[in-house]
Amino acid sequence: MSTTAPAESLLRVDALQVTYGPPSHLVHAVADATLMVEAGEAVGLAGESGCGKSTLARALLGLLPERVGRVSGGRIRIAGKDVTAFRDTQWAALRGHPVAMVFQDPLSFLNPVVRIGAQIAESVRQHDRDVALAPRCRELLELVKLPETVLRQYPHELSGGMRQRVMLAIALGCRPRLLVADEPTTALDVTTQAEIMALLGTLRGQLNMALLVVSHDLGLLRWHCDRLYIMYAGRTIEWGDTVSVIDRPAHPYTRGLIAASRLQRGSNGRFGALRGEVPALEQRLGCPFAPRCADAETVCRDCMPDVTAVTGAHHAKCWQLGSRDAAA
Amino acid sequence: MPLLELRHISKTFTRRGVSPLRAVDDVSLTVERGECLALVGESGSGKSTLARLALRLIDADEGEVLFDGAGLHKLSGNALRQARIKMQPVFQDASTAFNPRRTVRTILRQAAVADPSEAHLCALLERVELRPALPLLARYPNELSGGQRQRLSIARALATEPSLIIADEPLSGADVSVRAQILDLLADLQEQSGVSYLLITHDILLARAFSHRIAVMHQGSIVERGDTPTVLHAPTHAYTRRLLDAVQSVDGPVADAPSA
Amino acid sequence: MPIARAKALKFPALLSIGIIGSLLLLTLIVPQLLHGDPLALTDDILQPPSARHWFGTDDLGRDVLVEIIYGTRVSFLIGCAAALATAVAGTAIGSLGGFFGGVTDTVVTRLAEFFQVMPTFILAVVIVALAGPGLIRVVAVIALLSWPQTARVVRGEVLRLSRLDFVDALRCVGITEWRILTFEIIPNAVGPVFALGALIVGNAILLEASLSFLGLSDPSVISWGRLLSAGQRFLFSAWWLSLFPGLAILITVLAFNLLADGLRDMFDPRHAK
Repeated sequence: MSTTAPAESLLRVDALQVTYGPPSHLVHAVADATLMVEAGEAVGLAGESGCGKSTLARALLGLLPERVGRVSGGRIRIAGKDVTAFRDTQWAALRGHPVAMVFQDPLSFLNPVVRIGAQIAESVRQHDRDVALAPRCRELLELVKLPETVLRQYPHELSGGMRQRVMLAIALGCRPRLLVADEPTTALDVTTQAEIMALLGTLRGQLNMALLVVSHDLGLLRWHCDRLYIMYAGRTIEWGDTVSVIDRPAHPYTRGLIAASRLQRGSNGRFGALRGEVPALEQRLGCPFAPRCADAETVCRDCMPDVTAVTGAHHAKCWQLGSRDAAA
Repeated sequence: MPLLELRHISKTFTRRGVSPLRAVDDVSLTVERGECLALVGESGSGKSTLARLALRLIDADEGEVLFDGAGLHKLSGNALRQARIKMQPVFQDASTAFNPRRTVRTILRQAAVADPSEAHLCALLERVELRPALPLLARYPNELSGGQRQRLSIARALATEPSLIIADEPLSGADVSVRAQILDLLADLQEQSGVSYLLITHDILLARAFSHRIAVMHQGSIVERGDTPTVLHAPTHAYTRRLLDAVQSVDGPVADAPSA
Repeated sequence: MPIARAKALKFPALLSIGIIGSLLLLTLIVPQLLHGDPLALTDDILQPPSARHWFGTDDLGRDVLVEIIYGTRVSFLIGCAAALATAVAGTAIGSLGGFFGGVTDTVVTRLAEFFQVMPTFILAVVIVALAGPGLIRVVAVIALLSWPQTARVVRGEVLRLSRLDFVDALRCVGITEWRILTFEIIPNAVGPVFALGALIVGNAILLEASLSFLGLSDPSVISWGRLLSAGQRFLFSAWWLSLFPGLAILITVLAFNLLADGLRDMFDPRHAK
């Protein structure tokens, strides 16, 4: 697929590997991840806990835990620049602009004893030295639809949804071209969640900013992303247009995940389609999903499947893809 | 006679320096035998407080709790422990639901007072599809996966052969694929033993999937209640409509989707 | 995380265990090796350290090393007894406050505050001076003055643990409140008590030494503080009478403090690197 992509994608990750721990106990948190985000696009990265989606997101900003986690293979290109081997000082120039990140729990990223106004101003000053601070802060608050009074408040005085908006304002202060949102609404109530996601969508159009939303919630990604990547056991196993992936999932794991998120009884009267739980991260020869897959054959257990095109831009890694299509 | 009946329950929390919080405000509800009632609401709606009031883990300021004909609000000590033993909780966070120093064997034995034999404990684990059961008995809770822990907490609840399980967000801590498995398990148990559920959740999709009736809770009061399909398709209260509009399902708007 | 996972002790703590262990061994073995009454008076008075008397002799001709070894018994006995009494009292009182809350908790907290603001040493001096010296009294005074620290730590732990879901789950399967507190909560809450215990052993040894230095201890018992007190008359003529007991106190108290640090790290992940 590399040939079909334009040379200057905003973000491009090829065969990325991230390992944790000392050489004797290496854990492959990300084993083989492919990801592409074009300017202005909303992309979803879905998977269950331990699939490596948050590690991948952190690797995109050089935020892997120091000395513990490191990129051990593959490439990350941001706006055409290879950042795979960047040092901390080089990353610092990239963080915020062109790539910014918001996290699941804003409270742990906001300084509890500094007023919101000062925290937003700090982010603005980092990237726009010449801009007038006060009007820019007001502008940012307006973008995230918070009242100006928030500037004089402290993080603990705000609700969860408001804190997430503050985090957004801080991220936007850097004028990012790509905003990575790691489980941005998981800690929030359903109604607040819908508001924040709607806001993200509006901002994306308004600021021509690309979005990478990392979430376990396929329903949420279904409504807010143009394209979708599914991760399992450190690998991106299926990706394509959201509608195509959700309506015509090619990988058995994706099918199971969609059925499970539906929370409706299937034709057999059961809610669940997936057996077992996400396995511990380990190096294995074959397809990581083979032990849980109902259709697994010898080849699935012995060899890693290649990327196969399902339709156009919709790809999946599954040995059974060709045979099933033939049967259908 | 309903299995569980709450009559005009109210609870106000007071703390020094903070204005009193009326967490539950004159709530009445019933759970019939063999049914599942979903109590739907967002955080701070008072739904978890209501669960603890029903179990009488905290005392209500006003109102009555009747379980299987017994007025729990009037009981204390041994009589209370006896009266509520057939009503068991399943908690959201299975990582704090067990004493970390107890093995699975001890955890189950504490609950299975009537028959603490090894065979019975294994049978309990097998009922929640924790297999092979025997080697699991010697394990500690933190050696189990999240899904296994949630199954174990259901097994503990089953040990007293309850007629009502009060499940407070039983799926929230679990992975998507495990959620569906736990839901299947809860459905199977209801089919086998006729146990009733009071399902406390913020997730309307879960309520749609599993409950016979829904009560929507908002700021300490029940604002809407009725049969699940009715509430989902023809909500009367504005808050219920807001909740329904906020749901993001893989398929589409909840109200249009077929109900369980 | 509901409880801290135990980790291995670090080097300083292991070193301190070594020091404490060797001192204990010495107190047990050395008296067996000596013939006759090792503390009998001799004519070798105020001898400086030599091959025969490593730490020299005192004004009554007794070997200072032997005296220190005998003093170790008293110091360790008082330290451990005081730590044990403190741990038991502090755990009991603190867990009652943390578990039952309400009025009980208010009483416990206020009582602990009352004892914590007391000037420890002065109070100890007053009590011993009024009640007369004696090992048991010293232990009781130390316990009385140091339980609040333990009680506060245990109270906090019990309060945190009793809000966890497992306590409610146990209630619902019919286990009584007392059983829940004693067998389910307290075993999870006492980790920090061990660390505090080691600290209290050190403090108790120091307090006992201070009391006997002031002559407020049982005159029939040899202790490090009494050796120091006796030695101060000869501070300029026989320095070994003050130096070696002082060093013994310093090293032992330091060892118990290092052990306390190590135990604290072991039980509390927040302090560990």
